[in-house]
Amino acid sequence: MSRLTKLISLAALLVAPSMATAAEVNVVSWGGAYTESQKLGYGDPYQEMSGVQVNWIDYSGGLSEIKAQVESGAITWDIIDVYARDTIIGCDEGLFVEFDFDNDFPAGVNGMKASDDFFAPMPSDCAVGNILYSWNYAYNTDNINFDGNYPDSMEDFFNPDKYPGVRSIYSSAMSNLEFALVADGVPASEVYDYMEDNGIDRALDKLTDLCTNPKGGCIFWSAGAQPPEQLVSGEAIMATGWNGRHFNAIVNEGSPMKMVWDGQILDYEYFVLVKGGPNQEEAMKALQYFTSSEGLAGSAKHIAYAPFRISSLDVIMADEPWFYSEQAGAVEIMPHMPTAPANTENYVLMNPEWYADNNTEINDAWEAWKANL
Amino acid sequence: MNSKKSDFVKFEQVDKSYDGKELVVKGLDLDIAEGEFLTLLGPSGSGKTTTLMMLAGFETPTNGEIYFDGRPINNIPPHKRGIGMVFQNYALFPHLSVYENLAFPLKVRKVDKSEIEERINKTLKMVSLTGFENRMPAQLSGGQQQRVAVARALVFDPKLVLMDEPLGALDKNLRESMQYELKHIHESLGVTVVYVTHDQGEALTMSNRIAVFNDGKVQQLSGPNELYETPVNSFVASFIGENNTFTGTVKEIASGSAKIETDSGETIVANPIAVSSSGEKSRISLRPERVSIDPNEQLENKFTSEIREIIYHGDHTRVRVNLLGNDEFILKVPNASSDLKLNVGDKLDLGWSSHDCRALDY
Amino acid sequence: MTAEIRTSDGELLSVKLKKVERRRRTTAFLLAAPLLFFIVFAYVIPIFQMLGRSIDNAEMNSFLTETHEVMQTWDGSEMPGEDVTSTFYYELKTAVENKYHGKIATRLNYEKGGFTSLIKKTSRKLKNFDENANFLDQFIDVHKKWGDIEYWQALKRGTDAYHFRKYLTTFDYEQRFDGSIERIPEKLRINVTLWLRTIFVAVGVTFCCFILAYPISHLLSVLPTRYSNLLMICVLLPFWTSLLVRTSSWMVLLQKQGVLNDTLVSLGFVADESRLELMYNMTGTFIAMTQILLPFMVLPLYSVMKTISPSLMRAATSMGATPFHAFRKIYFPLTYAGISAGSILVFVLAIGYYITPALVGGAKGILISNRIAYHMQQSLDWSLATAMATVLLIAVLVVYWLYNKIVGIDNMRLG
Ligand SMILES: Nc1ncnc2c1ncn2[C@@H]1O[C@H](COP(=O)(O)OP(=O)(O)O)[C@@H](O)[C@H]1O
Ligand SMILES: [Mg+2]
Repeated sequence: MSRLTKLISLAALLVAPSMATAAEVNVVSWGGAYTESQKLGYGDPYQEMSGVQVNWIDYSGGLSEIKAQVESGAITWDIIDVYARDTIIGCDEGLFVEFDFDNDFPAGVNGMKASDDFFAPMPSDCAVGNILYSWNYAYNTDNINFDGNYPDSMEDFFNPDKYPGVRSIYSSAMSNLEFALVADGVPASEVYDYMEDNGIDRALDKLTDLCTNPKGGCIFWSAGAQPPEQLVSGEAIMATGWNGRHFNAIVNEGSPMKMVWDGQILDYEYFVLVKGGPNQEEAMKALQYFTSSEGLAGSAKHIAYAPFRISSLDVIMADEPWFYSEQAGAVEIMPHMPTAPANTENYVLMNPEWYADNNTEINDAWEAWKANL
Repeated sequence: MNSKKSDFVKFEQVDKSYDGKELVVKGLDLDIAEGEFLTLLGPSGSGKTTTLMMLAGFETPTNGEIYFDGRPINNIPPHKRGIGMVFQNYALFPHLSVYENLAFPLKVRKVDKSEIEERINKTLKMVSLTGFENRMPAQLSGGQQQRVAVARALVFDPKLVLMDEPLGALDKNLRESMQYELKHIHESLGVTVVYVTHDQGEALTMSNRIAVFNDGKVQQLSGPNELYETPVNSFVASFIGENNTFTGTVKEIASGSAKIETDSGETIVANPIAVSSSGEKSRISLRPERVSIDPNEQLENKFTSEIREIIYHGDHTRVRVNLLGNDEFILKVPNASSDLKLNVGDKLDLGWSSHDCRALDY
Repeated sequence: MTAEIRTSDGELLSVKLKKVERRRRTTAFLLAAPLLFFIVFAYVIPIFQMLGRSIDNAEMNSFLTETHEVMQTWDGSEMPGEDVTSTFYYELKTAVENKYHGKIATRLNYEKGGFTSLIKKTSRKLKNFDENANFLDQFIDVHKKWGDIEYWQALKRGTDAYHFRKYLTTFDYEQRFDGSIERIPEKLRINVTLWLRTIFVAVGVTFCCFILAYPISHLLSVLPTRYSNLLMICVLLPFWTSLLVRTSSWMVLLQKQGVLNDTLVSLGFVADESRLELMYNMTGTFIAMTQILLPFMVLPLYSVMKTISPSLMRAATSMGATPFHAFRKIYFPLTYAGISAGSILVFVLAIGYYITPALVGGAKGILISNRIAYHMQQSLDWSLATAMATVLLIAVLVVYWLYNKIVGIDNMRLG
């Protein structure tokens, strides 16, 4: 980093109004209904309990912003809600704090030590689990193109001849490659084995068929709130997305939508603590609360994502109907979880290592594909 | 001259309004003879340009009809009228050379190349611009640009040429020499010219006939000397040449002479032009050069004045005096009579004939 | 020779003149100095920094200095010797300890795909290495890719302090390790497509702007001031609207259930099930960019048209030209200066645009500047981003140069 940029950042710091009065923590997440669930579930309670102000900042994923902050020496983020892939890359590059897991995080309310209470091992030393969510797709039930005949598989999503209409898909490669392979007949559990072996090309070919079919066509979403909006506005007839966002649109907004649970990708979401963040110590304490049994259970009160701790599920099940919103009232949430038995009949388990190791190749192939569409 | 039409151009009851509230041209009746140099003269805003534009086709009459060479032309678009036009700012095409400017109307008419060249050479010679073919307009002086504009309006042999204050932007000397040139061109080509100006000197020098405009109406249409010598109303009298006026009331009227009592109580014997009965208000007009100093002949009007100001003008001296309560009475004294000693405050006897003193409308 | 001329106070005329002139020049310079200073710091220096960055690989070179040095004696024809592999081992070990092996992996991956996973996997296993055994064998044990000589060749090349290969990437070419230059595999080609698309969009938008702006500008130039001011405000409105407001209003207007489609359907021009696709395609890109850039065409055209006296057209028609002929031969040629100034402005701005087209144009709205932004912000390959930006800059300079050749920069009227 050049001295010039340092000087500029210093100037920016001097100009910025000093707000060092009360302790605060800056948490970065994906916005919309998801951030709302985090704020209501553990952000606000923690703020009330500790007197530390929790500020929520929206972003759309990726490490570029935090890398830029580190490069310029003006780090403003403390905690980031990230994909597993990014915990690995960021940890390797020294962006995040490495945890001593069982010391840093409290045991569950069931007495299990943290590393046992969390469903799965962490993908890197810098990650602490947050939720399990699914990438799946939903469709607009009011769309006249269906004519009473609705899709129920990943294959249907990729079949514009049967279900004509524009599809909305994620603007990066993640999820799209998996969906395409499943639709192309690859067993859900073997998707990543195929990826190593020419699978990217195969997936992109499948996507080309969908996106260039005059009856199909693709538009791209980059923020989680977009897919339901595009479905409701009629821009897309089907849209991939995050199950919690679809659920929110259906339950809280009464949107005419239905999710399809086939070939969905079950994925873990994590928190990381930025190394050298402006409030690193306060942030660690906040993070401990966020990821406690009650904390994680708290967010599930407001969105259909499964808490990462087994003990949190116990908390929820003991108190069903757990979900509550003004529009929908109290709702039993367990059947809507991405981990519910009915929702895990044929699913892909996200492989973050594959993404972390092959990030550049995947992105290059994806961007070239998109540009030549 | 006999075969030429006297109503080559004819305005018949033409009205024009731009805004639907005010008539800019009111009930215009005007005949223009073939080969004539007719000038529309009047103060700014009197409707001269509007009249010209209606003739050229850029404005449509609100009412009435215009005839050109016997045909009504209200519905003929400008480019089909075949009327040459010279604009005040010349309107030369800045991106075309002098040659191309002149060739433009000919090319439009699909004249062949050799003839174009011939005609342009002839026309340029006529305006003394031979050798300037390849100059761009910006490389010419104002006078040269003006000649190009004239040449361009003439090069396609139109039967009628309109000129809207074409000399307005030139300095005095150039303007005078251009006046003679235009007059000569008109005489040698015999083309009909309708010329607009607000400069009476220019109008008097060049025209066969002059139509004096005011307030959207023709006040008088006649030859230059008639206009000067026998104005028919007080507007024309005051607009053309210098003019001393008195206002008064008609006391007695007989054929060829009227007794008028001025506002100051004196009685002037005048030539009744626009008055017909006693008791009428009238404005009396008297040209300065028709006033005699120390008159010894028998004149109907003799009065004493007092000198207020003396202005030396080279060939003559202008003397402002107070006469019959009029403080702005002007005398023109030729410098040949230099024996005359004039001093401010001196008394001066003045006199004039009743014939030269015209009783006009109030 | 004439005698030297002196001013009345006895000084040599030439000397005195210079003195007076110098004072005038100093004043002029002082007046321009703040701007000059600003331009040098805010424009000239950053541009040279940018040029530098596009070939700069010094950081990478500093991470693996010694490896790079010992590799200079290795000709790359067969697997490297232990001098190379051991040096690399120790330097990589330092990198892992200091946590910059991630950066090494990313950088090397630009040279050859697969390096990210290779370095990361190797880094994780580095602590198991026996420092007394053969390093090459142990590297190959960790990952079979180390047995592929191309990775070692890429390592040698990837640690050069500077290189020009990013400029090849800019046009979808790559330099093989034997020095030959070839196009990259077809499926990975992206930049040429985007360059062509960018030029197509820029030319198309310039044309659309011209078609729309010409009549508007003419109207503006002939209307009385009170009407023309109102119309001018309408034209300039996009200038005063924030990007987000503009974009969301396009969404409202252009999307399938949007105002435009609704109107067309209710008027019966299109069937409800075949609503027009006005967004997320080229149509959207063109509509959005044309609207934004329209003022840049209108203003120069307007300023030129304002100076064209209406009597010129009248003169032409009085000479017998039809209104169309008069327009083509007189009015239109006189607006060339405005057309060219407007076109060059719109074109240059259009090839630099990226946020709007991508928002409204979807995948079809991705232009070369989106790629530059992508490499600046997402992939963080700043060398490639700056190389592409440099090419873009050169393209703009070429356009100016051509313009100057054809029209002459003095003839430009910017309003
Ligand atoms: N295009 C126009 N629109 C409205 N009013 C006009 C227009 N042209 C002239 N006028 C008005 O008509 C009157 C006569 O104008 P004009 O014919 O140009 O007079 P002149 O040429 O004698 O000075 C003026 O009061 C002028 O303001
Ligand atoms: Mg006029």
